[in-house]
Amino acid sequence: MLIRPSPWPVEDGRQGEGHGGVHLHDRLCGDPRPNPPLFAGRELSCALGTWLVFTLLVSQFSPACAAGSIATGRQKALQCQTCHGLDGLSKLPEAPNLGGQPEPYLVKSLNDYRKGVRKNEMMSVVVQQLSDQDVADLAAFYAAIEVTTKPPK
Amino acid sequence: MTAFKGALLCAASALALSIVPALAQPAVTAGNLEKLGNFQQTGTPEMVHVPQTGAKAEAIKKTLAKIKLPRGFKIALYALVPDARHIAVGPQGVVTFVGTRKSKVWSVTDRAKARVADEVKEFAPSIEFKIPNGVCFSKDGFLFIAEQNRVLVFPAAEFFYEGADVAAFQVVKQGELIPPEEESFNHTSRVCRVGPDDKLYITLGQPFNVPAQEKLDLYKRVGIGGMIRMSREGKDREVFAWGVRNSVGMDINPKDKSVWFTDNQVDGMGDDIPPGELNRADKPGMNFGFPYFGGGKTRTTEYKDQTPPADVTFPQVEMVAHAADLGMTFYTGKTFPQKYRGGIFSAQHGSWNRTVPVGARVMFTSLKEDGTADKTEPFAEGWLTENGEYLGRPVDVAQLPDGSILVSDDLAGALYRISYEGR
Repeated sequence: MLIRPSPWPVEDGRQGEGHGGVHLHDRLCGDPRPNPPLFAGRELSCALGTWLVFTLLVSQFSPACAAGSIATGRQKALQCQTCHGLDGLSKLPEAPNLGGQPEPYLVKSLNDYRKGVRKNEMMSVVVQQLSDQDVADLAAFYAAIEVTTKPPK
Repeated sequence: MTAFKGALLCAASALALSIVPALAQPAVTAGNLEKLGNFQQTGTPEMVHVPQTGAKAEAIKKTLAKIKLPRGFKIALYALVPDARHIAVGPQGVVTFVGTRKSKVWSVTDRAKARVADEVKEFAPSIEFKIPNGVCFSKDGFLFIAEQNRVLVFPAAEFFYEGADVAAFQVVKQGELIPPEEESFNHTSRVCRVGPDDKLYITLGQPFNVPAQEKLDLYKRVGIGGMIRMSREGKDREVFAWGVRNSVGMDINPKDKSVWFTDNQVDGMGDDIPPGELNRADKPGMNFGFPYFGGGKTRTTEYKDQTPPADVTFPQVEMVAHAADLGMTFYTGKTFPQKYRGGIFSAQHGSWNRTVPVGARVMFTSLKEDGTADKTEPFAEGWLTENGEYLGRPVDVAQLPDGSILVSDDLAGALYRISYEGR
């Protein structure tokens, strides 16, 4: 079931909106700001939750996810640099590279740590101080790092 | 930015090239350790060499030009050493060994005695290391390497290191330093020293931010979240100190034989508490208060309703919160001014999650007549830029035979040498 009420705490101002469901935009981007007009007030039914539809929506929603600010994200990433690098390359054996990671994946990962469904001694501590906006900004910054790779022959 | 990226790529590809031949070699097997113990050859040929010149070296020299030191001191690039962590200077002054949190130990040699290393190569390539962070020497030239969950000893390491095969023995077998189910990537960098009692001292970080109550009995018994000591052969193991969160720096005062160690304190309590620690153990069996105290006298949230042990020893020095105090050394040299003799140089790695980063510097702590801490002040700083970016992260400090000190940096992948050049 992909679309369902989120266990995530409801942000200020959201409760009065009168929707029973949670906007896909919010689910993907973790961003408390109003939805794009096209989807405003729209409640997505569970029947839509197939992978195909999900995939399509992700691609349609991507521009909306870019609401995070790359410049602000870089500033906030000073808290991430010792493990993940300001270049997005891992600085510790136990930390992954984040440069060029898909933005929705970064948002989901950070939110999973915030919700406690994913746990790690270091990440579970640092996400406590992140807001939805911080998550959006950090994801925007790390996703914007250009990465080229050279696979082994 | 692009030029910097280019320099980085260039350095990375140079490193990759030098590592390629090693990949083509036969896999390292556990049987190699047995062969080495019998002084047999393993057939492991080439050792990885680290090029010492190029764009990376030039970039680091630029950073070092920004480092602030007290008057009369000078800092210079000593060696490029990938992932450089703790340092062990050979007692004969032939070679310096450097541990990593990955799988290699590096040997660093200044053959020309130009006070700059001219050769950095892999040590003991026929042995597969796992987080070989802790390196230390006995006075008679035995090199000890404390890994995540094993301790090895290399007799006459300053002689054998030239070849790929080195005499090697197990002090603590794989899986016997801590119970294997307690192995963690977190807080698993060991440090070691051979004490004046000729015993081997090893710090054992506990893997959690704050451990759960049900872990404490086991941890107390094994010495996790503390420091253990044992004979050089690995016998008569005992818990020397407990109530420590994650110590990654230790040295013994040659004057009064007290054991000093740094400790990294609890995360997630805000930017300004709890303080970092520099501790002193002047006898075995002392309790340093964790997890009841999360650093200094700050109580942890998890244990706030419990009564802490009555005999807790508080730190000698409270350092700025989250600066990550790591490696340390007593200064026994004669070339630094009087003020520094007999005092402690310690490295602050720099905070990893503080809103405004702090640390990334070398601190100096002087001692009083009675052997307790007097004053602590920054000694070398400037690796943290005004806008919060790290240009380097100091890990350990060690003294060279000429009285200068080496500082390791695992972000830049380098050793620096700080010398006193006079007024």
